[in-house]
Amino acid sequence: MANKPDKYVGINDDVLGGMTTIGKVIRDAWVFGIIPETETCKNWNIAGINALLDKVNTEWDKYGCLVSHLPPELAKRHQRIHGAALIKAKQAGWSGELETEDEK
Amino acid sequence: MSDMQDYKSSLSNTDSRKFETFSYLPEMSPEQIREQIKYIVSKGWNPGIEHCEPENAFQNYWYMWKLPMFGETDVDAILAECDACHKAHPNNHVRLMGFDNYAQSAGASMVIYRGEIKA
Amino acid sequence: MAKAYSAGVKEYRETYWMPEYTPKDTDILACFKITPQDGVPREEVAAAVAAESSTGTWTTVWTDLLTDLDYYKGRAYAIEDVPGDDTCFYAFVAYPIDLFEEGSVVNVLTSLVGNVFGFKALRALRLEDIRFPVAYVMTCNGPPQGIQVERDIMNKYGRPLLGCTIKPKLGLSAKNYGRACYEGLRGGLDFTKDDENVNSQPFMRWKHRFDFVMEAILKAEAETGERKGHYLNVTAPTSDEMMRRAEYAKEIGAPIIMHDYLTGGLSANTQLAKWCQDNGMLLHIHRAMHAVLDRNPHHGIHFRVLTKILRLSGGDHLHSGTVVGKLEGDRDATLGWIDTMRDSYIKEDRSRGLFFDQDWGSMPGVIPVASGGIHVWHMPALVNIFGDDSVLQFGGGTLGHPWGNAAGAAANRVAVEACVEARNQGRELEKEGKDILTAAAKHSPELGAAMETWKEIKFEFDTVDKLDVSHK
Repeated sequence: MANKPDKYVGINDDVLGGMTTIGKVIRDAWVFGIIPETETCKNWNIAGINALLDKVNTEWDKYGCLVSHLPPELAKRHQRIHGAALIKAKQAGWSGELETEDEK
Repeated sequence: MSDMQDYKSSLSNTDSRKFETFSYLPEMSPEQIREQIKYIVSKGWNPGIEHCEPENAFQNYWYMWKLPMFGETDVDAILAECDACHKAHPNNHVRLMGFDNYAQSAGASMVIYRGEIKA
Repeated sequence: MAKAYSAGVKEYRETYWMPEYTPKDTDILACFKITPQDGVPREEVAAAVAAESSTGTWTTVWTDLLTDLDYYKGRAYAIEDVPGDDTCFYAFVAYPIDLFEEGSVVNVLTSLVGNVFGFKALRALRLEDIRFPVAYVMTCNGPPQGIQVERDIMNKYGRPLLGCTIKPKLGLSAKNYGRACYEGLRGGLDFTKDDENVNSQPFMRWKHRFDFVMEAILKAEAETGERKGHYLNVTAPTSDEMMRRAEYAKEIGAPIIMHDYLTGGLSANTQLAKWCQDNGMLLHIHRAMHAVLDRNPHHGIHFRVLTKILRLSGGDHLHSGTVVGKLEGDRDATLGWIDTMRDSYIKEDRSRGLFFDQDWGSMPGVIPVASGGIHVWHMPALVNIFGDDSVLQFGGGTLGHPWGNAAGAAANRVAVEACVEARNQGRELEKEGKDILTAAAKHSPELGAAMETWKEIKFEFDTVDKLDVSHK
């Protein structure tokens, strides 16, 4: 059985240029100011990521999980952080088609 | 860390409430409503108008505005009844339905006037 | 070259090939695509198929009672060429209705495809279509609720329904799974779905999943004011266990459950459907294993037969393939079996692969579920092809949204409503799809981001798999 990592590699070293579920959680955590934008979560274990997810969920609950419900300042941050991430992911070879192509 | 912001939770944030078909699009203009009425008529469906207080909107049964307009094909007449219901109940949701008596179901149902939702 | 085939075949033609026979309204009719062994005449093989799928195995018992044999035997009454393929031919067989137990698709399949497919005289055999007489349809329970009742239960009219299969992308805890459902439903989907592989594995037991998902449904309903559901998978190792899970779903107030009708088995499925009807539960049917039967164009069972079997056994939703997106499919054939699922009377139409008129009487219809590789750019074509009575499921097309599940859900909901509004206005969806979506994105940043994520689709009318019909 291959060695499965039990620590997160950090968003800068994540696959698909960071367009993963954990990557999205970290970016949302930056948007909501839960962790500073300099925090890549490198070497965090799964419990830590899970705890971060819970905090992010609490924030999203305030706005009905919808970007269009964010107040203007948060919406701008969301735009900036996620916009940059989209460009970076595409450069790393990620595409929407990757998400849908293995469906039956 | 960002400053603490006052916020409304989702339950009390009335922007969260939707009312099925077309409620994820912006509120319709009179021209857009007219187009949907034309569609209902073109399908041979019977238009019906219903309304309800926003806080009771989750229930199946809304108040009927008069009776369904069986066989009505005049778009202006239908629009006039929609307006009349809205004027009579300005705080309620008003929905327009198209009853398909062949399928025994509503082929169309849309809230055309959105009542104000209080938290 | 009669080595693999004994002289006994002549018996078949004498007794079972009856070209002068006019099928009765009460007969069950079948169309087989037969690939015979070399050197065997068509009538003999067709007759053999008729025999081996009906009374042929009873011969030693019935030789003394020829009158009864005549009454019960299957009759091969017609043979046709397959356009464009002369390795095989179509044979039409009629079976008297009394051969079959009432209300039992299990019995029908056991008879029609139980023994004959291994028959030596055949290289390959495919069951292309079955005509169920209305007399037999009326003995079957059919869909538990049907399309109209489902709309009333869910309070959704005038548009397709939206769904998404939840993949456990962030660990496998039931709690995180429920959260993913909540986000999808909250964002604007009508349904979320258990992946069919998810039954009750050690990493997520079914009861925990049901509990967390139900909480997610209630939360999403309270916030949006719309009815929501999640197909809770009750497929189980035994039908007792399946019923336990169904009962629990009902207990916690779930509106809909899900079953895999081929791997779970038709007997279990029919039982579950009857229970769903008695208990006001909607039933979503998944078709795992269908490709084992329907993929080979010369051997197996065509999917249109599987849709008919499901409608009789019972189900409110059935996966039907998408036509667009990654899955190949002949548009006409797909529309043929979709009509077979939904409508009450479907006329024979060889250009759509329909070999018989099919009358369903007043049996309710099944909603086709389009799922597999579709995303927001496919929406105009999907609304155009499938119409309102459909469920459009975007798995990766929701969960793969760069901003997360809720954003993916909102994007799809805005897109489907914009397409429906445009269609009602009389606009041409497939021509103006891009304009319609672009205009809607002005009010929905989620839709805008989705349109940037996936590439624009140019819908093509020529698909890869063709029906065996000569082109007009």
